[in-house]
Amino acid sequence: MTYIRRLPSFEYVSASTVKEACAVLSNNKGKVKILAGGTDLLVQMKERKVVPEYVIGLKQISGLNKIEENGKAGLRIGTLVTHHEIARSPQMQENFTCLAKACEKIGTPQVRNLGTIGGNLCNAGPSADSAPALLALGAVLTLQTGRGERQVPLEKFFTGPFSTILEEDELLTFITIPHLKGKSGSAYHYLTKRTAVDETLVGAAAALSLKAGDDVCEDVKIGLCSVAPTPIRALKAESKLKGKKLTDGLIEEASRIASGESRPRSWAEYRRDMVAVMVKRAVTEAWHRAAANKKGSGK
Amino acid sequence: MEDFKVIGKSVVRLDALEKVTGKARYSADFRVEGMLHASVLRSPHASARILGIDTSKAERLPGVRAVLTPDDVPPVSISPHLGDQYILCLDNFVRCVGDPVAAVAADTVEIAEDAVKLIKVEYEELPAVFDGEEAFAKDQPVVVHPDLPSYKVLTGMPIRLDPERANVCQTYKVRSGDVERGFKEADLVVENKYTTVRMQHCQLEPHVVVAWFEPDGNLTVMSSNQMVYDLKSVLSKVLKLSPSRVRVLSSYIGGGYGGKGGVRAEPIAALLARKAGKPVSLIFTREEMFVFGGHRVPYSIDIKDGVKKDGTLTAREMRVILAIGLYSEKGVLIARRAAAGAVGTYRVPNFKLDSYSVYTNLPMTGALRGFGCPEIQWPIEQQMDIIAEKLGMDPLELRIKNILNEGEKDASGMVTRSIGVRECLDKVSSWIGWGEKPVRPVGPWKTGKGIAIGNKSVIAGSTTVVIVKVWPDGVIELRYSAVELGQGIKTTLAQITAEQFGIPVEQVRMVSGDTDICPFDFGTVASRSLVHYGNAIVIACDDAKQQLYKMAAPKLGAWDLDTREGRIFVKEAPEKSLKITELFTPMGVPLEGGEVLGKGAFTGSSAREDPETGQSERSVFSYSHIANAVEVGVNTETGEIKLLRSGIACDVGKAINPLIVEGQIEGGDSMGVGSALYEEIVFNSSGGVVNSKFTDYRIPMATDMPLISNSKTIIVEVAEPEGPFGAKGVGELSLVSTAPAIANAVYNAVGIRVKDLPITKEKVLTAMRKSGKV
Repeated sequence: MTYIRRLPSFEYVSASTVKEACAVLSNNKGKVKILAGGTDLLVQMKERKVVPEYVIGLKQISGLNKIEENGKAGLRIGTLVTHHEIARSPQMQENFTCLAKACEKIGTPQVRNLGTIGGNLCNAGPSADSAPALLALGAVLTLQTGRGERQVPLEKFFTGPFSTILEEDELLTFITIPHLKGKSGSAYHYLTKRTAVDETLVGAAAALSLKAGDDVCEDVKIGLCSVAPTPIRALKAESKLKGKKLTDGLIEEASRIASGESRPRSWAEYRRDMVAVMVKRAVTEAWHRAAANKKGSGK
Repeated sequence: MEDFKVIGKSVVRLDALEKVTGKARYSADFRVEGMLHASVLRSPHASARILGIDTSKAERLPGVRAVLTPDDVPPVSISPHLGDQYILCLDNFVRCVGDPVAAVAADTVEIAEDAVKLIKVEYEELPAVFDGEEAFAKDQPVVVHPDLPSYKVLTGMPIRLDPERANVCQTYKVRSGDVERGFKEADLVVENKYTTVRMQHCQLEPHVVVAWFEPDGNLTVMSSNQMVYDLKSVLSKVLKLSPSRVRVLSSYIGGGYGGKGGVRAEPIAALLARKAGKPVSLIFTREEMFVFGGHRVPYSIDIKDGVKKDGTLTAREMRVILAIGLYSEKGVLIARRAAAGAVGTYRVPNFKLDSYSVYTNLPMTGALRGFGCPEIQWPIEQQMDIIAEKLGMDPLELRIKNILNEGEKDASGMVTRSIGVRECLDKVSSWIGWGEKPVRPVGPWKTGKGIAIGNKSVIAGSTTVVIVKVWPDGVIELRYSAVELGQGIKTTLAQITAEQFGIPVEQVRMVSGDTDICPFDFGTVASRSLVHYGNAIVIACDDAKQQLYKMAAPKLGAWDLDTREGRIFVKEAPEKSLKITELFTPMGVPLEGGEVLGKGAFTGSSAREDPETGQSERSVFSYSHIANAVEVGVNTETGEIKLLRSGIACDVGKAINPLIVEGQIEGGDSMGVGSALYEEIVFNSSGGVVNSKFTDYRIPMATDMPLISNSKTIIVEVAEPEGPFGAKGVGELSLVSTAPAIANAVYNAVGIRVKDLPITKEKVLTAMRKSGKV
């Protein structure tokens, strides 16, 4: 049996620069955990699933809690931006609807006020809601160590349930989402396991852009969570749609393809069925949003 | 109508301010100097023989003060009715995953938990049986308690085994009329099988106990138990102490729902305290609550109904299997109480019920709000809808036609009285707009309405005693042993006491939570507190008043006296009066008798059932009644169910405090929604609980309930002649028929009948697809 206990003792290190945080990580490999909200970490520590010697707080590092324009690269979200801040940001709601919606779905207000986007990704739960949205938006992660930094597309980040490519001395600092081009829109649809506020049973995000003046899908990305060991892209479903004139029938077909791309373990049959339903809803809403989007969100 | 001063008024709860300000004290806030902390080692196997226990490593861990093993445990049962349960596993066999095997007391809870892991237990694994029907079968694969026939029967409640079924530890029969004849007379016979599942109470506060021995060797226990005198009696038995030497204290309790009516943590803490020679605190972890805090009994019910074309029920036959788990505890009693639920609403001229409590190798079940009654309405109230559809009748009309009338004998031989279910049904069906179309569905949603009715009874033949003390300033003190679980009993009893003396509630002093001071009570269970305490308080207040009147009469020159607002006056001439204070000396001593103490004892009427037919003139004390009307949306793409509107009407006899009654109704209703749609303890193939956390075991939140503007709570008052001011119990009533009402609404929306709880979206969608409805 696992007991929920009080926190084990640990040393708290407040880092004031990324460099300092990376140094602590590199000098104490395997003994450090990063606190980025703590809504997952503290539970794991109470259950003794992780017992770190050091916990690094990032709050003093400037810039990690901001959403900023980053020129041509797109929008840069600091790893410490909370779910609440994303969900409530008018810019997010308008231009990156799927991410705002996904962050609004996470947990309860208390969790959304503490939990961060970087924490959600690094915890790498298969049901992390922010992941399918960021996959659909083509997010790129900035991973830093004392030796330097690398840019990694999100779909290369997850390696399995609760595991990522992060090195022991590496820190996720920023998430960059490129601006969607032209007439574009996105949406996130999900189903919970039982109650309204509950873990996601199936989550599907879609972001797409239309060719000017018609309903031809210029580009589309679909992200899924809770239906495979990690959040995934539904690549085959995407290529079914890309370059085609969107119709309800075509979206229906693509949704069934996405369902086939999912690999759920428990509640498998129902989950696969629901992938089709959620993908259909997400793509349809993204399409209608794009069609209604006169100016386009691109710059 | 009588003009009451405080009865029927929603006075502010006496515990409100201290609870909202966080000042209220619960058992876990209680600290005793030198207190140790305990942790329990539990069986990892569903069935095994213990070959050896090595505690040496645990004992060597610094900070460990005592280790308890089955060798330290007296061979005395802690189960109330049948001698099948010891403090730690029975006779060196473990019978479920979670069965307690050993326990440690240490300086900190962390040390205790670490020490528990150092205890080495050698097990010989044995085959186990999990499924109730398998365990029930005559050729059952495993006998959970081979020594069952030799177990002691501990109370007056009869235990009837089944000689052919080795896992059956209780059978109960109701026979009335002749069901075979009834089915012959019927134009339509409807036969179905229904099941319910295990739920957990999910009290915010877990089981908490602090136990210590006083210098004189007396035991004191601070506990979150709902049955303080029952606990006192069990502790006195297992520790071989005179009951006069066991003191039970209690504080506010953070939710009970029946789960704290048994004895789980207390004897372990008491034995550890004796062994360590220090106070010991034991607080169950949330996981322990989910595994061993008690579950609602899972039922499987075969039901067969006969009905005439005009809707008149001619016969009903039920076979109910209760898979109670490894110990009998309350499971043997629930088999009987379920029968009361089955007979309390409808006129069924030919009725037959057989219920069986069956052992399995799963954790303990027991009381969970409703005590078997919601489980029994689950099949009955769906049958009524199925019958109505087959006859082409309105389900409302079918119900009305078959509801028992005042004065009629029910199928268990008790004369029906104070039956307000018709009024409940009328009010709630009118609110929901029965017969009118449901809310217009949008997109993939379909909508439908459903109704259901039911009852919950108060246990017969149980006793409550109170003491009332009159203080010189006119303050009236009530000493009582009911526990405040959040149900509002403290305030409600204060109102009844205040009414007796015609004083405001603020002038009543409530004293409880100490068996050294407060008199006997059967327990804060079975929706019984209000009716029993109410009656006892009236008697005790009369006793105290007579003592006052005896002193006042010579001064007032009259014997026919009454009291109000701290004055005693002559009934015929109210201007002739004196202050209660005047009956006391300046030192605060009454002129006669030393103290004014009134005693009131009340035992609810009862009559023994005939063992072969279950017939009894008084098998329950009283019946409260309920009707639900709900409107749901069902998503044809996902199977999701949304409760759109919900109306609930409860016949409570008399609402002493309407706001408290509404709280009880609405809280119970949300628990009913949980039972209907979400809640189920899930086991793995080895008998371990899979969802022992709130993240995996979901209970409804505000977001799962309809908006307040779409909800309606209706109080109906059909007076119970033997209830105080006509009041009956309400605590458990409010979730009795929620689940079948929702099931009926789901059927009305999409034509899918779910007979196995809970009604999950995947069940609904799968059924829709199978039947070609989507």
